[in-house]
Amino acid sequence: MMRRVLESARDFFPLIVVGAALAWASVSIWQHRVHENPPGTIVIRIGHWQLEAGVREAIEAVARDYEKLHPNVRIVQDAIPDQVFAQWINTQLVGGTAPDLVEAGGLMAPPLWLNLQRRYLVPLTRYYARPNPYNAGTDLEGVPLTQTLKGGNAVVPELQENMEISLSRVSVRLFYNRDLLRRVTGLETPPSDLGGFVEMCRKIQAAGVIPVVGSSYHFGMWNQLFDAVTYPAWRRGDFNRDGYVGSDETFAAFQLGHLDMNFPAYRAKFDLIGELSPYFQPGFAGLTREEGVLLFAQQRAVFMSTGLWEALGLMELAKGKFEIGVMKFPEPTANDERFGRYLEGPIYEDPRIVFGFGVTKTSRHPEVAIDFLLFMASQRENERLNRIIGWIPNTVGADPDPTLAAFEPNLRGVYPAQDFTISGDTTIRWKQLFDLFSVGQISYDDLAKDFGAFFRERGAVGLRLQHESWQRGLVQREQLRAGLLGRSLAADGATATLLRDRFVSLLPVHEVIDHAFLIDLAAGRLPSPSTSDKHSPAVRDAVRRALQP
Amino acid sequence: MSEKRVRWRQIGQHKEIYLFVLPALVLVGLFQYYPAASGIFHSFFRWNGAEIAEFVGLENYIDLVANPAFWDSFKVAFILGVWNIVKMVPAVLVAVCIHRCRSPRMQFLYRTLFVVPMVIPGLVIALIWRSFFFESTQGYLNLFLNATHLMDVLQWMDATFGWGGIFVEGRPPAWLGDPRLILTACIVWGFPWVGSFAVLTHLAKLQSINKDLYEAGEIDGVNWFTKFTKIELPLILGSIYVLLVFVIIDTIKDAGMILALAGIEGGPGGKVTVPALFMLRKAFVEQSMGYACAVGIILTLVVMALQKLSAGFLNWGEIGHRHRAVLRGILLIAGAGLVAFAGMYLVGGLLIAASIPWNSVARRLPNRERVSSPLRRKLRTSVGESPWTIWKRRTGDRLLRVGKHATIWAVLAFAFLPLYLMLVVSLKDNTQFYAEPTLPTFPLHWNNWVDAWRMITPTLANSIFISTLATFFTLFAALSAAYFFARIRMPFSGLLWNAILVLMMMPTIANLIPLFRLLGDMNLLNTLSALIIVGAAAGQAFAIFVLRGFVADIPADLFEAAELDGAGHFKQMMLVVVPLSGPILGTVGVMTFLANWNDFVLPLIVMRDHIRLPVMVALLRLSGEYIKFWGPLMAGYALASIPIIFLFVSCMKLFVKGLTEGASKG
Repeated sequence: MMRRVLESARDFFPLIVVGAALAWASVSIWQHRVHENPPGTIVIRIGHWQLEAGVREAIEAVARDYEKLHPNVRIVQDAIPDQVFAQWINTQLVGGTAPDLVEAGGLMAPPLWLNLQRRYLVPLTRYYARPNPYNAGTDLEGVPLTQTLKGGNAVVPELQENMEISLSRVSVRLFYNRDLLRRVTGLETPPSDLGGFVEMCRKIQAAGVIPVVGSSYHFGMWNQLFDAVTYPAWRRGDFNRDGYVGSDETFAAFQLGHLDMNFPAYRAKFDLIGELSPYFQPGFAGLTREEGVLLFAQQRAVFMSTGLWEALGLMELAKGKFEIGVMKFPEPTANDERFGRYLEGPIYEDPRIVFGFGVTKTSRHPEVAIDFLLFMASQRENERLNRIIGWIPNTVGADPDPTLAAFEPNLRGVYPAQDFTISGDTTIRWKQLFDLFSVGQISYDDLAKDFGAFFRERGAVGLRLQHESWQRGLVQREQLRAGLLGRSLAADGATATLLRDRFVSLLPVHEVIDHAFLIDLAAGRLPSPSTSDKHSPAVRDAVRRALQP
Repeated sequence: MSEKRVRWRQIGQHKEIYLFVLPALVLVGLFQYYPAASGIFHSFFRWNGAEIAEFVGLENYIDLVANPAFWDSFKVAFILGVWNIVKMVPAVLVAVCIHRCRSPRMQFLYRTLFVVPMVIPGLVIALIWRSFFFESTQGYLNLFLNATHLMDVLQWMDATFGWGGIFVEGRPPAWLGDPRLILTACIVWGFPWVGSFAVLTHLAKLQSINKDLYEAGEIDGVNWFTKFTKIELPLILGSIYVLLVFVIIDTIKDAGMILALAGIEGGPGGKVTVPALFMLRKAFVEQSMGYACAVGIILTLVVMALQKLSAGFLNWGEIGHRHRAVLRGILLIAGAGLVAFAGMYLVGGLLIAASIPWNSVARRLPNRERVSSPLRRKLRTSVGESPWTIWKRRTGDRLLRVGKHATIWAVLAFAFLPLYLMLVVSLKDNTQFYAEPTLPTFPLHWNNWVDAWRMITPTLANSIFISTLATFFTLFAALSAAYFFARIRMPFSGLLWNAILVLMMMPTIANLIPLFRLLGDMNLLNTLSALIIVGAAAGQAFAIFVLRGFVADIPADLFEAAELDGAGHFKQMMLVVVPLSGPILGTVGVMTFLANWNDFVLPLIVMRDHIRLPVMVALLRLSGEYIKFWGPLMAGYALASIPIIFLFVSCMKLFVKGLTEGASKG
């Protein structure tokens, strides 16, 4: 009898195993469901890609504070690796299952993010005009939100709306191993000019040490320096004279022959890369982000370029082994024969989209989500949040950790005038070719030839899509215009003027002219217009003077 | 069993049998045909996946055909496909080696040992290779190349043949970071490429070889190689062909492993973008869903054409001259087209070469004396052996036996390497890992396993729940449908059968975008139900195909006897089919379970909450951490593999029995 039972148990063993596993799984899922959301709980999800040390802990800490104030609310984080974030957020937004708060930028090309902003995010402009209730009891009490944020909250020009609230500011710096630098060169601090820096790198390399550690990720940080020399292209491509060369203007400038891949400032960017890249470890562009960090942690290189977001992790890795120093990128001086004339001022460090969050239209509780966002942007909580992460707070009066003084971004300076992100495929193609150039698989001439042709061909499609996208927003902006006009009529003084100006700038006639102008320009239907290089020398001198530190 | 034919006027007597096929039809209709139709529809639109849709006619297709990046993705797929065919060889060798073991215990031991490392989910292996083998500064691949001085050889070759400085002294090659190496990395990963399913399939075939054949061969003094080429290879050729077709089609339609190894951009320079990845990028990064649907349609057509072509070549001897000429013509046109328009000289050349009727050409050549077969040569020389010859033969046999076991153990060692690393690293903290990544270090950090358990328990439970229920629904619907198709030939059954067969050729990934929208409309996004239902639907075609063959082979007498006793179709199903189907259900069940367990592309897109993720997606997310805690991560990988190893080992007997009895008929 016993034997028969054992035999049948053996026969049914697989089924017993599967049955037991299913039972355990069911109970486990049920238990998690029960504890997940007690009845009446409002769950606010916050989706981001910041997996660096401290970020999740910081959000968690601030969320717990918020939950104490609002016991019926639960904050849940969706921390997604940056490799898949763009794809993830895209599908979640399209599918209507996106978190209530999503990190701005989405790690995708600006035109693509703009589409998502328009379709799926709640405009936050009205909240900017109101005081942040969580600043009560501080010196910011009663002050409109817009004046409580240091930067990074510019209106999205295409939408004329504030779409996100940024919580932090970061900058990119050169980190160096102070002990190794001292040992190899005898220097306490590295030279801040490009010439001196290159000379020092030569010495380090001669001593058999890698001067600068790179990876495809960390090498990208140098773009802040490399891109700054493209600034002179502004005079050739800023057709609407807003001081910025957008992707559509870059394309139009290419079509008109104002710019091409051989434009001296564009070439200078790649010459500069050529000047510095010999001091990176061989094959650097092939390394991943983690591999780059590992080499620096193993003290095999003196310098590494990265952002403030990685600082905490680096400090942790270096603890007890070596001392870390921080410096700005070495810039060419005005008398630098090769690059001096292209870098027309200090480098502007863009702090706009840094840990910014928008509220999704599909949120079941948008008011609560905005409330939590305001809570994080309040003076007290923003300071707390950034102290834990080790970043610079974005709220006025929220003090950063004193050790972060060296990371304060420079907001006056020159910026890139090269934007190839007119469509998804031009963005990807540019990245792919730039990768190949970085590892020396193709020359600049190859890159210029290949991408120049591709950009002209696909850019036309991108421009058309951008235009269509803009047209779709017309109705939405009509409501905005009506609101602005109404509010400007009801207001007085400076507020009325501000609102009136915004209303006028949004008048369809302006927008239509602006867009039609660019489309016709790119299609060659208009004579080549003058751009900013036609400004008088006095104006140019004034701009140059203003850029001097 | 010959299936009974029912005419229109008799339909009333058997109308309840349509209920058997209903669940399968609902599943495939809703989750496969509807998305496919929606995909075709949307491929003519500029569609962003949401509200914006603008009819553009054939613009997407024209743009696609003119897009060199799309054709480049096929080049990559072709190269990977060729290598995937090469990678089938180790599985055949291992199966033969195991089969040749005389001791049944050793056979069982090897079979079990092979199954353990081989059922570790592909994603886990890919992630281990990504983190441990391909890492340039401390990765095992570079360490191995340096230790064996193969790196010196590669550096010499680089310098001699002008490879462009891929292998240069003092510069560790970055396998996944260098655009020149990433394709190689995507080929190399997973070495020694011994898939459990392939080994067990070959083994099942080999075990069905009549022992008399071997005995006859041995009497004739046939050597080990001739045994392989003349006895074993011809008999397992069928299963090799079947696997070959799967391999080629999978290479074109699958993006999962490339996604895990190289990311959605297809690695640096997009060098390993395969067609399916190209489609995913268009859809979910560039928001061009209509365009992506067009890619999906073309993918489906290519896969169907390949399926048709391979079927033609598999049955070359049975098809008529006209069909052969048509196939040759297609190959010739395709080859010439690839050479002329896509610059794919190698592929085009091979296709053109394949289109030439070599036999006819050979017949026109002057007659040569036929070389006698090795079997005949052996036959001639095996009579009257001298003691020296006998000693030589025996020594040769012994060496062969040792070589056989040595081969098996060598392959086993490589196969177990990821498992070994997983276990060793799972007990280290980061300091120990950076200091000594390969060997065990003390103290052992068992708490990593506790942390990992805490980290992935909910997702592990989700995966078990999803895979089990999806398997159950697949088997239930597929067995019922198989009964419908095998038992009686009803009106429409031919049409429905063809409709099911077509699904086997339709790459699921091609319909991903419309499927995603459908799930959204059904409020199933971010739910376990979505993965269960879609998993059950996706498994239907293959399961029905295999089970129909099995049900058709059940003796008709059994059904007739049941019918005489007054049993209707439901009773016949319960009394005849179900009791006999244990092994085949085991085989199909295990394969369905594995497919659901290992799938991560759909869940990656459909799921949001961490608490609802299947374990594979959770592991993928964990591997994306900037500062990794290697111990808990590896413990997590191990925990994700244990259930599947346990399931496979406990079902292996059933699985092999099913393969031997029925599945291999497919």
